[in-house]
Amino acid sequence: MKKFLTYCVTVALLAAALPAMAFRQFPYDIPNPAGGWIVDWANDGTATGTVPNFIGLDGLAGRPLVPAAVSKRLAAGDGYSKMADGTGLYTFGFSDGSADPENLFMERRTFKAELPAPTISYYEGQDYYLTLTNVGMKLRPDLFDPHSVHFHGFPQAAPVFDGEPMASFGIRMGFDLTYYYNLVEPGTYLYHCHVEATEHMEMGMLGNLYIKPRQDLYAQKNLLMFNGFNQFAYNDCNNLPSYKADKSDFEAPAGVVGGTMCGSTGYDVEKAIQFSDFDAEFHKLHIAADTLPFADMLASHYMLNGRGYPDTVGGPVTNNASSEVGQPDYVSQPLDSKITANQGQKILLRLSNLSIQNFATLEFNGPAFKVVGKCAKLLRGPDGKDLSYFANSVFIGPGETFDLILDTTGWAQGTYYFYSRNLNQLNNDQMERGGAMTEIIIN
Amino acid sequence: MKFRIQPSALAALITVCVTVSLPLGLHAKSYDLRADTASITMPDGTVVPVWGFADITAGSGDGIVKVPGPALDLPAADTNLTINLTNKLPVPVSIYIPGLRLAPAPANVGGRVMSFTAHAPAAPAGGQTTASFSFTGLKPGTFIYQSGSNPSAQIPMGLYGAVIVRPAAANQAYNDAASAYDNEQVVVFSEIDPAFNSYVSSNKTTIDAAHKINYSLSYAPKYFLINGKTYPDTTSPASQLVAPPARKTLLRLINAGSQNHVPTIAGKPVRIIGEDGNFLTYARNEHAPVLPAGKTLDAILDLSSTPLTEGNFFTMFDRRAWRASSVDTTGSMIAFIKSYPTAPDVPVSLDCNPFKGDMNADGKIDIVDVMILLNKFINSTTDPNGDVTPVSLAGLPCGSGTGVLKLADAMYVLQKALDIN
Amino acid sequence: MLTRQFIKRMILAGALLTLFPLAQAYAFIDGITGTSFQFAAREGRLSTPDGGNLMFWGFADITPGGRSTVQYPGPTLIINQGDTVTITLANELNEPVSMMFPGMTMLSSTAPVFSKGQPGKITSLVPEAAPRETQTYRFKAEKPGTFYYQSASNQAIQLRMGLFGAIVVRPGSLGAVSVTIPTYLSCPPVGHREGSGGVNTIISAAPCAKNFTTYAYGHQSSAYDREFLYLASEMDPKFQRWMEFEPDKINNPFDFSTWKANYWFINGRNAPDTMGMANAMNLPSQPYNCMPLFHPGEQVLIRIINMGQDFHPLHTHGNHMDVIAEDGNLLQSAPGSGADLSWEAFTVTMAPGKTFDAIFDWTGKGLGWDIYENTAIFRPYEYIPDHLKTFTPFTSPVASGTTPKLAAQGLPVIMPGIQETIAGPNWSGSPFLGSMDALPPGEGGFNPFSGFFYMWHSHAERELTNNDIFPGGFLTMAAIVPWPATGDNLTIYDEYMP
Ligand SMILES: [Cu+2]
Ligand SMILES: [Cu+2]
Repeated sequence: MKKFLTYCVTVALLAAALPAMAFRQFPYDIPNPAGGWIVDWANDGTATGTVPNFIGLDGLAGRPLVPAAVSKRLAAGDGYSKMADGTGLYTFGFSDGSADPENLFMERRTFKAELPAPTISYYEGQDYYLTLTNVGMKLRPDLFDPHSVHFHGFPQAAPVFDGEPMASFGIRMGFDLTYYYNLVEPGTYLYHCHVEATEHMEMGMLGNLYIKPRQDLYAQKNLLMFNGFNQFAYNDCNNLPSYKADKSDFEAPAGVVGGTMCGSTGYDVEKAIQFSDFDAEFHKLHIAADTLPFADMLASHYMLNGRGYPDTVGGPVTNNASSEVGQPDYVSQPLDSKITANQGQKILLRLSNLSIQNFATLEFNGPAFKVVGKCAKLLRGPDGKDLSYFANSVFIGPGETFDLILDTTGWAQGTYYFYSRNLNQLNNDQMERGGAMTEIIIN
Repeated sequence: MKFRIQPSALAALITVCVTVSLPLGLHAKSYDLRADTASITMPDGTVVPVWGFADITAGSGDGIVKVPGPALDLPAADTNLTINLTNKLPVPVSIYIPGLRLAPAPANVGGRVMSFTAHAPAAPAGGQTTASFSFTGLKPGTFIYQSGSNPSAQIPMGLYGAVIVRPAAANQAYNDAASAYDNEQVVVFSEIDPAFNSYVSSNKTTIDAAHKINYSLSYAPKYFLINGKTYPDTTSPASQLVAPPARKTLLRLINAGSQNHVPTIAGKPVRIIGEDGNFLTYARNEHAPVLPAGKTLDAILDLSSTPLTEGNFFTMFDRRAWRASSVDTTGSMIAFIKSYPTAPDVPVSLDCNPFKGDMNADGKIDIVDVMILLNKFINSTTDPNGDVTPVSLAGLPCGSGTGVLKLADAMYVLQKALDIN
Repeated sequence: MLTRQFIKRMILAGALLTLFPLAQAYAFIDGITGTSFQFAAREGRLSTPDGGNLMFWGFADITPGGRSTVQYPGPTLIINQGDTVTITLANELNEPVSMMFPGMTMLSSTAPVFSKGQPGKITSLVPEAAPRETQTYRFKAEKPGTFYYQSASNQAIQLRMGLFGAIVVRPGSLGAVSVTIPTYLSCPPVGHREGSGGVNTIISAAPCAKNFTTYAYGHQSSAYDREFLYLASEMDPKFQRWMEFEPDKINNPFDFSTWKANYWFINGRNAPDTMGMANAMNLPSQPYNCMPLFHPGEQVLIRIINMGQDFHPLHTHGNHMDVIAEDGNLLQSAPGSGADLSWEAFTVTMAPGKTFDAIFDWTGKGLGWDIYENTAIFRPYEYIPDHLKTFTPFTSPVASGTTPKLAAQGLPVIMPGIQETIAGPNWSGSPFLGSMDALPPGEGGFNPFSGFFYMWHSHAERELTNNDIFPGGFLTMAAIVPWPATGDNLTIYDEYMP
């Protein structure tokens, strides 16, 4: 990536000359040793309370504890991953440094990119402050790439927090940028770095992101069940009240919270699964600081949640960074894709595709599932018509998401499979019976 | 009941099947299939090794290995299906049908799943193994049966076929009157990469032992098949699909390939009423439906507003426009839908058969045909095959169907002979 | 970040950098109207932003008074529902060419053509024009919507070469239909481009209504203010060169299994040319651009057509689209019910040979902060609950032990310093709509109205390249242009937003 070199030397000089001005930003900004955050309303370092509980959910009487505001600090940099055939590949990515003290942040977060990026999952209505710190590329010190977070698919975005660098900006190495999101719409989204998207996304800056509906909190707070559930893919009940302006509680419902579709997206077991792929050759050329081959890209490793089968159903994957690139080993692919449920339970699959070149036909080899959501929206027409449908596969394109409900009532116990029916995607480079496949185990 | 692979024969046989089975109530249909090797010849002469299924059911099966395998067309209201598999392939083989219930019993080899369900083990040289698969709680719809053992190798080799589960009501795809049809056709899409098949065929044992090959990555199909045939083999009358005018035809679209296709009918939209064997509450009207790998769609080609006496040829093609040859159309995913009145309907009043004008039936139109036509014209002999003068439509080749020849017919046939269509 | 070449090309294309005297250079669907057309199929040459050029086959409008040059894609036909249309095709290529009109009621034959009647030698799926001959097609446009025409001859080659174009069928008039604006939004403007009177008089809070007079389909659920075309196609330069330079195609055939797109086009151009002006002098055979410009609250109709071989995931930053029609069919449960089966998408799978109509709008609803930087008056379609919202200042004392005090502000967080970021060409320097702020030297500059820009692009990011060079390809920027305020110079709006 020679073409950036001259440019970036200037950048580095500038950075050295200026005091760091950005920082992690969160209105409730003092970490509470007991967990969570402490309010510092006066901005003087004096604790005055803790983060308010969201709609009064205080963890008491069987109710969950849900803070009104949430924060995360992601590091963006490079790392190393291990494919299911043992191949080690250089990656870019994110890792979660929320718990790291400022003085140890760089040390702990450099060369720790995870595949996929740490999952972001919150509740509708929470205030979300996401700080992104660019920790630089340890194995590519010649690169000074900025990074960003693109909250893909969230409705009504503004460029400043959209992370798309033509219309806004990326954050330079050594600096922080805080994104603010008012999580008003539940659904299954995804996130990725949008800087030099073709390169950075191929390198692995991809993650799961979903927002749980307020119907969960309404049911849990009021100890109610809808259709036998108190957690749902979407708000599917009629007359579900909105939050009060101060989010201390729900408004009074305008009518009976119910309806024929109420609870139809309820589930017992939830799993977010992200399809992606790597072109090993691209990654090898990248670490060799060679010219990047966009024209000749051809995926060699197909993955669910950053791993190919059978790793998809195994434990955390630790890379071979120490033996292959002289860096400490670490858990580079912490997420599995294995789903376990009991007979009769409902499984919610939050599917997304963040390949940069491949559509996938993700198929289930058992009974049909119900497609209840698409592109982070409940499949329901503008006047309430139920647009959900049954199928055995979904054709999912890069940047798309689907929500599936698998109702295991009456299923024989045993191991079922969920995999790409585009059969060439069932391999880990030269290793067959691998790739984009996982197990769904019904006990 | 005997399986069928010629879709044009389906409609008649189905009627029989429904009539017979209705009074009998619930059934548990059983098929005996054999997985075996075969080879198929592409129109350009390339011979491709395949693995396929043969129906060896006593009394009904013909024992011939086919790609796609024999369609399993179940009696109306059948609720159970048993497939007894005899495996003569040197690899383990199993059968699964996405959407239908089968007790899972996966077999792992080398820490990775080999078969989604209990398989018939690899056959010893010259021998065979067996396994049985019982699907319960069947629901109406169009499904696909395929190998559940190392699918990325075995399905492209040819181990797949159609499954049709019927509701109690005749001439309906589902238990819903909105799925009614007059005629039905099974249309199975797939692809063939000859290099892939050769590789798997000659390295079948290494594949299972070493688990380290790259055939799947380099999969690059060259022939695109509809019901096992690629163009121009699809032009043969036996391969033509049938959709009579003034009728609704149900097209059971099945993609058994690894690639995604967009089956399109030139000039005719379809109504998608089912997906993966599930009736859709809201049908979709489309002229380019997406048919991803492994998916089935039930599409109604509604010609009810076409006059009963019109004779047409429609083409069905994959809008993705892949094919084997850059020189001609060989290897394309193109098939023909013959839309002619069926007995006892009246004779055609408009005939758009594109092959009309071949007066001597030698498979081409040349100056000899023009001479024959002129001769018949002079002698006032009628011949529907020479009646190509456009009636009300612009352009060739639609004639009136009366068979009365005019000088203009000879002129049009001359144009065809000169390739000025 | 962006290559110098990309920026230079943006400047060359005039991508919103400066004002040009050409009116209507942006923001509408360009096309030809009438009921009788003469087309020619001929060879042409198109230009790609990496400095290359490729041979293509396309259609030219040779109707007297038409543009007469061959273009990629072919001329967009804009016709009216109920029209009977006649197209005479003159074939100037050396192989048969035909035209197919999916969704139209054909009044001419649709029978396939076989060379000399030989079953193995299909040349066209519908009647063709032989080389140097003509063929006439007649159809009735019975349904309104978004359609296309394409060659139905030798498709593997002719579709890859570019013989296709869009068709827009406009519905009969519904008259003005009044639509109530949701109560959480302020009222539409009285002024520029909406209603009558002066420019943007003070807007009061809801409820209020708005009249629509333009529809994609014969129902008010398809009402729109502005419309844009997204016609996708691809090319593999290897194939295009084989077509142009291979002297012995029979003995040196092209292996289609190796065909791999490396140029991706929207309306016949690769980014950044997509964002240049329509009818740009440097792109004589690529007259159509694609740069949606619209105001907050406007209903924007996106007519989506894929004329390529590959699937493309069209992703709209900024908001979801309401997909109201597929293949020229309004998504309705019964005739007249309106788009009651419409669905919302942030990514639409553009399938080969398929069309969609989607409606996009953007108000900033629910952002949680006032995008107008707490301007006292309501702006048109402003999201009322966020009006004049300010945030308690805060900062983190954790790292330094210091607690810098900040003034109360309209943004929930403090922006990084400009030296800490690398900004893009469409960044105004300010997070607020209609405001601008300091930019690092040499950055920004392609946002003359301080709008909000959103990338609308293929989410298969490999497609954001031009033959190995990033960025480019299937990418364009949609811009939300603030409503003019009283006292604004309107020239700028007139130039960009007819
Ligand atoms: Cu995105
Ligand atoms: Cu994007």
